[in-house]
Amino acid sequence: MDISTPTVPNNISRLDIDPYDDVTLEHPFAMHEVVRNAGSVAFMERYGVYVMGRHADVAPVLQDWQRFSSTSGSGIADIRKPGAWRAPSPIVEVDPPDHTKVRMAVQRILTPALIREWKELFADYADELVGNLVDAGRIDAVSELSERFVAHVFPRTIGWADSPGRTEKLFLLGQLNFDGQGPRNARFLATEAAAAKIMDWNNAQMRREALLPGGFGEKIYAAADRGEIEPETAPLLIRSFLRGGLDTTSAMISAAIQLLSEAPEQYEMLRRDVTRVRSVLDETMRLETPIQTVCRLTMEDVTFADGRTVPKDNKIIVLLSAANRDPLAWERPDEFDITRKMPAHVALGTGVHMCIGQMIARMEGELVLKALVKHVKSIRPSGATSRNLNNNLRSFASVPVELKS
Amino acid sequence: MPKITFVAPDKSEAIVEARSGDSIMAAAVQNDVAGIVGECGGALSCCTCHVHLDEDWADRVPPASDFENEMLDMTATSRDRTSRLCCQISMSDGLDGIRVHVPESQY
Repeated sequence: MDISTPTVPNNISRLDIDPYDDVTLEHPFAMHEVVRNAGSVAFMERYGVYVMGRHADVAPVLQDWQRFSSTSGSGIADIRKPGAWRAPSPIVEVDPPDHTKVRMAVQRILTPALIREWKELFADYADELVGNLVDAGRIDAVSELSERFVAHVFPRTIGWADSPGRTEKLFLLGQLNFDGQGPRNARFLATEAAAAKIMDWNNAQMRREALLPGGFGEKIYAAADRGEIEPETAPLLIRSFLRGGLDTTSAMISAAIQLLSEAPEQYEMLRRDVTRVRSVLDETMRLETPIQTVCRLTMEDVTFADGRTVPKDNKIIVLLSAANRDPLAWERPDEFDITRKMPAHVALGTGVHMCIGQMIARMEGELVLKALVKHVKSIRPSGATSRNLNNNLRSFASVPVELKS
Repeated sequence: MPKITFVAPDKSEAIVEARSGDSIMAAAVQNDVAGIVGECGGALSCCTCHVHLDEDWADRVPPASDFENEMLDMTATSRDRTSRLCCQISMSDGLDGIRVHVPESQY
């Protein structure tokens, strides 16, 4: 790490922070403030990467793929270096023009019509699931609602048949993916060891014969048959689809329920006007930011508005979560307020890499929230919440609530 | 600040001011213009910011990218020659006074 230290320009603050220690993962907000107060960009001594967290500086970086490339990986490790633990994602970790071709192939599949079809298909399940939890005393909104719902819906959108222990395996893969975006710390190594025994299963799931007709998986292989993407890209896109869509969506839904349980007046507002579902989901994503960070690589020396320069060929860790609570961008940034309008949060990114599966996540969130509005008059906290600590995914392990009709 | 006129299906008009650099979609959402949803925030993923440019403006706006052009085939109401996804049109003083027609539905 020390080799990069001499290249850090003098006007850039060197911060002694560790976004990955347990205390900071639990409560990252003080660390966010340190980063925002250090200027447009600072240097994280411990990991030898630059770091930024101001909304006004972050949004333009995400939009400028020419100067801030994704090709060195979405995590802090440089995946171009020898020994990288996995192949790059053919959609997340490439830039135009290659990216455009792949993104278009995926977007041709994820049409608004298909999302509507899925919405109709899964509405009854959301209704039944929530209906069974109403007036059932203390329930866990994570294991009994959001994770159960997403673990039912999402594999079907890919086209996977049920298999024993699938839910646990899928969430373990997600944990591995997001731990892998941070350093190779003890947390990552433990997850890697736990996941080792399911990697064969994982690889088998990406193969064509594992995929039922009508799902994303079958459709992406068909796109390869038509020559829209390379044949070897198809299984990697299924991997990216799974990574992007499972834990993130479930984290969003759990957090939305947790936030609504703490803010009964906001839930009342949603009940009175169910079109506010979208605002609830966006405000939840702003405050919780399931994917906390993304990384970019500088393709040239880049000078920010406050005169700080990051030299070419450096990784910058972009704290989406810090940008989403920037007091310069939002009044009362830590408050859950579903009546906010702009500016746009960056939880889904922005620009060419903006989350391509967000319409699926929004569809799932909408189904659960609408089912709640239909059955539940009040959502009350019913015990202490707890979190999963992960190198990059912010999520609840448990959200005890009571749902009253 | 450049102005945009949104013409609703019932021909009523809403005029909003946009910051230069903001998209027409962003200006519409910020100002609660009915009929422009912009659900995906401008990622070309949702087709809920479909508009028809006024004939007088159709050729004064930079043309749609191939990507936008493909997405326009998936809009809820059918496209025509001047159809655009207005998240892809960035406002500038050159577009001051632009008129766009909002379709009946975005879903």
